[in-house]
Amino acid sequence: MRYPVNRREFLRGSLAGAAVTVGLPYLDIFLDANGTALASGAPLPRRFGTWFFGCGMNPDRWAPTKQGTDFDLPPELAPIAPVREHLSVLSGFSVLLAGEANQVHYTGIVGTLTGEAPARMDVADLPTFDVLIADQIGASTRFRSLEMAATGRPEHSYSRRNATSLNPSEPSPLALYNRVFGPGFADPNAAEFTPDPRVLLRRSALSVVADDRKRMERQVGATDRARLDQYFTSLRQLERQLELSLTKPPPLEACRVPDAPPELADSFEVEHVVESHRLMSQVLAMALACDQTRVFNMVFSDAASSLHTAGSSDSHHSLTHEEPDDPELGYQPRATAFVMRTMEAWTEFVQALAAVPEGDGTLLDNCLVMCHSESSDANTHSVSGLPVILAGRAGGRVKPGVHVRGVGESTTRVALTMQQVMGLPVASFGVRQNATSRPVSEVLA
Amino acid sequence: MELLGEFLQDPAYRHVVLNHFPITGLLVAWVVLVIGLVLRQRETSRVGLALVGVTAGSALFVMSAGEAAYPAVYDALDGSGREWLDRHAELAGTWGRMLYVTLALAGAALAAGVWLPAWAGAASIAAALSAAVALGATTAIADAGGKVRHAAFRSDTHYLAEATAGPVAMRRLNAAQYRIAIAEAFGDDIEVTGRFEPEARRSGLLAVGNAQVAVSAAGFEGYEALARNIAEQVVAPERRDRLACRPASDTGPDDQCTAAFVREAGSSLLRRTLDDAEIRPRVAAASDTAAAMGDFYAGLELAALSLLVAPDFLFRVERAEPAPAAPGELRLTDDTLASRLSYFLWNAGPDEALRGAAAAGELSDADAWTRHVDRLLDSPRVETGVRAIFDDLLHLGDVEALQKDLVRFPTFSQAVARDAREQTLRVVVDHLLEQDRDYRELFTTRRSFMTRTLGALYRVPVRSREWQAMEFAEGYPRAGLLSHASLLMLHAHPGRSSPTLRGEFLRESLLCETVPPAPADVEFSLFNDDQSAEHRTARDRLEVHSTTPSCRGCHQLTDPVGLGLEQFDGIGRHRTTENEAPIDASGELDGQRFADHVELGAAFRDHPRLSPCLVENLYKYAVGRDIVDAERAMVSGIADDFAAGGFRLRAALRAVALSAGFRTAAPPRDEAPAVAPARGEP
Repeated sequence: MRYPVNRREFLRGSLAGAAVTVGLPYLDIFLDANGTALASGAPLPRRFGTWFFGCGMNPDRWAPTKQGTDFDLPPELAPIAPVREHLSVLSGFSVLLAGEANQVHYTGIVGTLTGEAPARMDVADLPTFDVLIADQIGASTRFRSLEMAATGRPEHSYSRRNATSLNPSEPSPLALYNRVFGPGFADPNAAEFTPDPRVLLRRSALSVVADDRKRMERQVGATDRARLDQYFTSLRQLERQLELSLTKPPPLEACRVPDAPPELADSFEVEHVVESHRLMSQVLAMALACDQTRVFNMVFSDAASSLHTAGSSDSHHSLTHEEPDDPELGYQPRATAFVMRTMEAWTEFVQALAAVPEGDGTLLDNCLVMCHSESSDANTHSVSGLPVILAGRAGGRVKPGVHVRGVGESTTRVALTMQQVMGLPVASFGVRQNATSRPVSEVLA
Repeated sequence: MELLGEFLQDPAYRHVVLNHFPITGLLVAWVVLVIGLVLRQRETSRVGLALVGVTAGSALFVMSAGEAAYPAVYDALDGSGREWLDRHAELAGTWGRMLYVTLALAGAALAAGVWLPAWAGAASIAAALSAAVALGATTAIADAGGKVRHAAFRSDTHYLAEATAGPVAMRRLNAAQYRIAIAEAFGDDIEVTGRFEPEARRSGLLAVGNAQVAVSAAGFEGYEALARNIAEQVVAPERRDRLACRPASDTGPDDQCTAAFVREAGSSLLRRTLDDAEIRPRVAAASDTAAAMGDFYAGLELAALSLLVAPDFLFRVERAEPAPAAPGELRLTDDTLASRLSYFLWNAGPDEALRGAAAAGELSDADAWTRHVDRLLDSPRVETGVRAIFDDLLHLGDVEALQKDLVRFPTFSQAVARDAREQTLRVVVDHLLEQDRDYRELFTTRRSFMTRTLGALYRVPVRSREWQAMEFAEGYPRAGLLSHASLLMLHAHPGRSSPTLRGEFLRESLLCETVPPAPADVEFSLFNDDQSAEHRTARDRLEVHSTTPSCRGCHQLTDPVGLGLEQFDGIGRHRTTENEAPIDASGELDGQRFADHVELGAAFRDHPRLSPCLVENLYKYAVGRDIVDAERAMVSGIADDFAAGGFRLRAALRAVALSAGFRTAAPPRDEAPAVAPARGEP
């Protein structure tokens, strides 16, 4: 029996013909007296996200010199000053190559997210750790995770269960909006709840396919069986979504259904990407506040950044390699302008989450976001001293406002910390040289 | 000895052991005879005659053993091996008689030496001549015989070679294939709107990547949304007339009618006949829904939806089964063969005739297979297939998603990009299919197609609003594929050209060479500031590559070739200067000097790797994976035939489809083979 009630009876009783609306009393008081839990007694959800940008920074101009809470903001970190209280800066953490070649613009990101320095391009069979976190905390929401790319390309995503199963990004603010707030969305705070009668039809179609799984699996080899498994996992995720849509969601104070963002043209022009990112951040903030997902991956710019400025013949990426250092300044001024713009966008992102009141704090307080890149000095494709910034308090488990230097240590320490904070029962993360069992305790509350 | 005796029980073995007598043995005998005759040594001649008689006579044993071995050997062979076996037997039947003639003449000459000495000389010469002809015959017979089992020997029709193919896989439909499948199943007026999962290029081809990718949660949501939208359209009132049947009543279930629909739509979508076990649950669920909602068509919609979200619709699941004649080897099932062939040649699922042949189990028969290959190749639908192949090969699908800096290139638009892609595909189809010309001439042809939109970029006047064919005049600075705007804009930066990217593409996609990635810690900052007064052209800036040892190795592969295209800017407009400095587009491609891109095109035409690379790509595209070592000889054989036949694309497509690698599979190394259930079993 796949359904809690007999499918035929349910269809006849409540959904055939005109849809029946289920009225529920609108709750004035959503929260318990402490402001840390919903009135229903469930604690406010904790969320995890990544915020990726391509082509790193200039380590000398980015990494603070002072450690601890009293850290300085060098020029390339200056843009984060307005949200500094919400952030911790982690400098010096690296992907250790463990004898493998540095796959340019790839090793840095795969190493940080999977814990393994890849031997070749396109062979990262380990899952990225955001997927592990989503498995743990994302099962009860409509979307296990949401991926989005301000660059407008679905393939600009670094979240994957394995090398063959990339979680593609929503390519525009409107696409993200439609996925979350389009058909299938039920406003948790609406007075009336109207389940869509077609949901049962859809569920029934999915269950016919799901029941056929065994026969399918018998017909394919081991490699393809894994891909088939992924297919049925994805199918189950949609079944779960449909199931949720049949019951009235509990009200959520912070949730305000946003207006649809405008349609944007596809472009890598940096100001365009900044605008796309700003709109996406707002939609995402509400997707989180309305508890549609608890895990997200935002790509501001791709690894080997395609960003460029209007009228220039060079991309951010090509500038990092080809622009000469300015003899007076000692760095590449045009490439560095992208770093500054990126840190400004990151600041805007943090502000978008901090602007949503939730409980007795903000949405950001119940989030943990890891900002990172695939390179430090992109000119030499360095994966030593990668830039990492954490934002949010993860519902009180994380203490922002510190600078931790981890020279020569693996970024897997950061990844392990993220997983433990989000409640995963893991004691270690990473393989070979990147294996670690030591979280970055300085950021823990 | 016992072991040898046992071996000799096997006629095939006996045949192989003994066949040296009438060939090598006869040759030695003949030499002795000729020496005797030339030196007029009667004794030597006699010995020679006796030897010729004995060795020619041994053919009797060889042939009888061969005949006895025929049935068992035939059963054990694949289609191409069988063709060679039959040829071997036919030759032996006809020309083998020369051996008996030789035996008779040698006997007669020996007899004449005793009883009719006057005739002995003439008879000996006749025997020698006969032996020479017989030697030629046995060589030809043995040549065919050698190719029965040894694929590597099959030099003239290499594609018949045996090969051990790689494993089969599940191959995800791409957007174009999905659209075609929907149009075939439900009519081409059904709108398919929505998003598909991004594809991945592996080993240079999306077709290979599609055999490796899965479906993510977000992707599945997208496919289900597509499917819902399609299912709604399929059962919409205005389309009900074309459904497989009419229900007894519009307001309740009709299981027979639903089953007919599922069977018909299902066999089109899933590219094979559906089992009862696949039809029954769909009919039952549709029945429930139709009854509950008082709407037959709601049930039918559910049935359609359940087909559209089935993994074996979104994936072409390729299956293999043990080859009955060759224990331990796998051949593709008939259903798999049908899909593989029609996707290769038409980029679509098999039509009814092909599905019917698969259902009847005909496709494992070599003759029937050849007939279907030829039928599909002769169909006009092969144009769709060839477009898909070159879209993938030349990365043309990426052209329409290109982003260019609109300050630098204000004339660039999606419309320009779309037409540029279409132009290349039109030239490919016209040249390779309609005109059936030499593939290599694609790199020099001055024939092209133009629209008004493209005319502005190409600086040619276009009067008509429609596509028009045209011939570039002698002296007009474009010829061949390398000067197509599509490829030039694709392999460039948003704001400028890129000799390195262009060179890399040409080397990797057209010559199948590997350009290693740049070292991670390279120092680039000396060049490519295109505002520099000192380095005004790309050639000046790239000079650094060739003077820096760590760069030189790889950039020597890419840059000189890419610099040959420098007279085209980042969107493919022709130019002769950059920053007011004249552009030198001369260079050398693997030993062949060229003065400009027109000569570079000619150098590509003459490059020895050009046509083998196309064949390798066609093969990988067809089988959805990289070439495995055990089939390299076979693939290079196809390339040899492609060259011998004048580089005609159809011949290459045909050879790939007929090859053993296309039709067989290797068991995956890590496990027992994935075996399809016997026909009829649920």
